[in-house]
Amino acid sequence: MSKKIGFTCAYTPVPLIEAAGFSPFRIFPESKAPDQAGHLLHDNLCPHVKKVLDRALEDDLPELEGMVFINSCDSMRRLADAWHEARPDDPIVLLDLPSGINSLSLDFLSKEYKRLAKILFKWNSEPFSIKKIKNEVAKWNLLAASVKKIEDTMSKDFFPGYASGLQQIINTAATDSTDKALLMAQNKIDPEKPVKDGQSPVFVFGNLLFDPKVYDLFEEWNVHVTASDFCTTSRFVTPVDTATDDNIFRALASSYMEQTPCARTMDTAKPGDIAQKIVQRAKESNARGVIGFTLKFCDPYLARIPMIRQALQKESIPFLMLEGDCTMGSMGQQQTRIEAFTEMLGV
Amino acid sequence: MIFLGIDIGSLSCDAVLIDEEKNILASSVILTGAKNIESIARAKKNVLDAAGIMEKDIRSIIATGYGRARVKEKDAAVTEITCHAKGIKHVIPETRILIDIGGQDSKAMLLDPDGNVVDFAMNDKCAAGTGRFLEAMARALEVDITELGDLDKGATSDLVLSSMCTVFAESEVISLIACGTEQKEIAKGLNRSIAARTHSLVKRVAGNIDGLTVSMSGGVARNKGVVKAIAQSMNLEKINTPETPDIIGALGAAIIGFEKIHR
Amino acid sequence: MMYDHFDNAVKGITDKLNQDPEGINARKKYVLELSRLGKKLYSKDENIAWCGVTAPFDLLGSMGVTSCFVEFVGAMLSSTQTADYFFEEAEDSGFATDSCAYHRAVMGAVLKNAMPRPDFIIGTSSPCTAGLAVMENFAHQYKKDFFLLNVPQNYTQDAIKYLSAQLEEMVRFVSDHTKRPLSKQKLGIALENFNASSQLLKEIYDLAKTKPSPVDNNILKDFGTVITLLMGTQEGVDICQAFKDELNHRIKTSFNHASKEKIRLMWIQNRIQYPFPINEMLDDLGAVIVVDELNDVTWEPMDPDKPFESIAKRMISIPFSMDASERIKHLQDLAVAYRIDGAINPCHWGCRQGTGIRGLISKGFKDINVPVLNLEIDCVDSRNLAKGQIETRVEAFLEMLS
Ligand SMILES: Nc1ncnc2c1ncn2[C@@H]1O[C@H](COP(=O)(O)OP(=O)(O)OP(=O)(O)O)[C@@H](O)[C@H]1O
Ligand code: SF4
Ligand SMILES: [Mg+2]
Repeated sequence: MSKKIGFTCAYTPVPLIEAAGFSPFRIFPESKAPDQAGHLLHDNLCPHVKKVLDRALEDDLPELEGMVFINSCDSMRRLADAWHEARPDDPIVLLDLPSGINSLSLDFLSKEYKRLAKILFKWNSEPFSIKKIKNEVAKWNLLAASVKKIEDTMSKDFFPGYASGLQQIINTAATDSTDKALLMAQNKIDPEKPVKDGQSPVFVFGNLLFDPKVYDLFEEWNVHVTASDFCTTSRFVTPVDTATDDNIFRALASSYMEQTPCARTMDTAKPGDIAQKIVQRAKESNARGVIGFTLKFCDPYLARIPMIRQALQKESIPFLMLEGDCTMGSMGQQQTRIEAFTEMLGV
Repeated sequence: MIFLGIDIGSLSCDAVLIDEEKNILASSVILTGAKNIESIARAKKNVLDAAGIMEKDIRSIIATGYGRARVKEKDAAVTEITCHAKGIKHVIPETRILIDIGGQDSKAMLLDPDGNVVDFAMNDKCAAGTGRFLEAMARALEVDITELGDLDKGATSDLVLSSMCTVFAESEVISLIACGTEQKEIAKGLNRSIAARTHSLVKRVAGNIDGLTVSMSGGVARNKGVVKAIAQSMNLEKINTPETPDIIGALGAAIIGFEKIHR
Repeated sequence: MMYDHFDNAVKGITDKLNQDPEGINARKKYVLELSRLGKKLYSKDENIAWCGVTAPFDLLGSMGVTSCFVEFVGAMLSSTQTADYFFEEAEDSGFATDSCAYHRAVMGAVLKNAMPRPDFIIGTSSPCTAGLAVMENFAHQYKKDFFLLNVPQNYTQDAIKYLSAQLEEMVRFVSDHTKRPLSKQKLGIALENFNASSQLLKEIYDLAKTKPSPVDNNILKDFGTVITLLMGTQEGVDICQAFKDELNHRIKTSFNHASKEKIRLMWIQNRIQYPFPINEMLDDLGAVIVVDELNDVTWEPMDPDKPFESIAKRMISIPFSMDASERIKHLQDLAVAYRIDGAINPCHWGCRQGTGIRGLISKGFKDINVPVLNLEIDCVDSRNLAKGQIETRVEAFLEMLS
């Protein structure tokens, strides 16, 4: 059985984990564990963080050789804080992730990624090897390219079941191995012909939506997901641009910071750019409307919704904002909203 | 040809039959209750009997409301948002903003001049500001829900309820009663709180409502006090209400059935 | 509107101080100086920067920039009971009520164009994600240049170097906007003032530790956070001196409040900003907040030869922004140093940074046998205040302690 490293945030470079000889295990917030996290932290906290912590408290996790945390937002920091209580025996590394993109931040983050790599190799008593890292990054880039291809197909036409299939591939990369995911992606058969089935083309964005079944539901509710921006979809499979920088950590840092970043990262030269990016992706993917799917209590997104709403309004792109806890359980109550939205958009 | 619309709301199960000219032949409003399959059958029977029509004469059945999937014999299911918009267009054609407050949801819709929905907003999960909330308050005030609408007559203070959570508001009302606050003042306070909520829902779909006709559907539109308070909060002379606001969703559903055939 | 508010405050307080030229009146002098700052911020002709809470106000001041953190406005709007209008504006635009109301008020003011127009914005990534997000909105809506200080969470050499380099870059950014270079001499003076203020603060806090304590429930309210706006100036030093004198005077004249001190409390994070008679309630029951979490000097003196490094260290080492373990250790140390009987955690609604570790904080206090009351109150937005409930909780807690 492979040795697993747990992680929770999409800014964790999976190639570093695999280079050190571990399997990645992204801890998804799906669990029947009772709600105890609210007691240890606070109830009004991001449901992602709370559910992951509930899994830790209930021991609803496979054996882990260590945990990688990223201080991407206050709630994630709280998760790292609580982990010491919940699983005191886990080795933990907490990376400092800058909030803004500039050359000093990229330098700093590349040092942080290097520190992470060294720690991971040490945890596995493996000699530190840049070569192994580069190999893993190359493989990861293959996966990213295949995912991109699938996404392109999705944005052109509606193929039933395609979106949930993609999610399965990405989840495999997150919780098992890049190799397996790559195999799945390469074997994913190109659909023969598109189906016209009354679906409205919609771009969806938000924090995380990882359950493949969610995408089936979307289809049932007449949504054709043309593209998505979640930290469980395109934001997770970040291609690493190795062409411009020979220093692999610097390449990782700039790719993870700059490629469709999460709302928690800002481009200081362009405040409010996230709203523009969403407009742009919606247009590029030929979407007729946009659905935002954010976690309750998620500060980075909460504060950006007004600008996103404004930017979409300016372009006359209809926008539906939904809040939930990113699990299937909370989807049911959204049905009327989503159906009404697609009825409004038309086909 | 006859068209049936059924709206299985969280509280009431409504049915409407229309004919080729979109005339309402019969309508029925009953409680949805715990067994909605039975209520659906009963609502259907009510309108068929009232109009003296046989089931086989129904050309199409469109279901709406949160229980729409439970209507087995439906031809299609459409959300109550689209149906209320369709229904109001029929009875108050100039409507551009529609407020539907039902038992568990309140919604605001922005319609284009042709009556199509261009934006909508819905309350969040809790019952604050909905019909159910009003029912709880009526209980706390020990009056019937149908009496609540006139209860605020002659109130003068500008009391507002600060709690909007049903549980807290109920205890707030009880403590107001205990302090000897007059019933009418409490009722007015309640209406004001609901109005503020509703107004902010409207603001989410339309920043500027100048010159737009505002109408209201759903059972709560029967509550005159609430309607007046919403109008006041929005600085409007009046909000239009149809004679039978609770059947607007079912009516819209029936019309959608009609249009599907006649397109 | 806000300008008039500050202007009236300046006039009113100046009059009062003139009537009592002999008195120490530390809190009045402090509020006067803050009102003057407020006036400057809302007057159109200064170089103005809106900032994050942990920005280096001494450094900015030495460069001729009038600067302030935005949460100050949230607090002002709340305390003058004019915030509701702005909350509603923010909420209508889609900013959820689950957010911190300091920021919701500011966001509303930004959307209503009611914030004074800054020349530029300096965001800080600490203490909280939410604050930074609001600063981004601010820059976006007002189309102003934005400089971000990424404050790392781990206190390491790399982190210090990283932040010092950013501070140097910030100086260049500011100079580009003000067309004034950094004067070593002026910075030297600012840091000297800062050190003098820090020294006085330490002495003030030491006096507050006395049993019975010379402080009352109001005098040092939210002092630690807000005084950083003034510490680099002579006025700041004078104010700190006045507070020290006042506490010394109280000890000498055996300030009558002290004799009533039955229960010594710690207040965690910030106080309640809108008028709410909690202090009176505590007074009535003989409870004194002898220490606030954020009233502490947690940094070494600034080294004028290494200004950026010193400031960087100071910014990173604020326990409130660090790991939970650091913050809790700091709370425990304060609890022991001040010999408190209990602590009140307001659990300010919507604050993931401060309130997010509520459970861990409670545990930390339990470990040293100090009871904590978790109030669960919004310290800034009074619209959902369940007054009776809060009163009952506080009273029951104090009954339990005495
Ligand atoms: N005569 C009346 N006077 C005052 N209020 C009334 C009256 N009749 C109904 N209501 C109000 O209408 C509410 C029910 O509205 P409606 O029938 O539109 O709900 P629904 O469609 O079942 O609910 P939803 O659309 O939320 O699922 C009741 O909760 C009550 O508050
Ligand atoms: S109270 Fe919390 S969320 Fe609000 S400004 Fe302070 S740290 Fe940030
Ligand atoms: Mg209804």
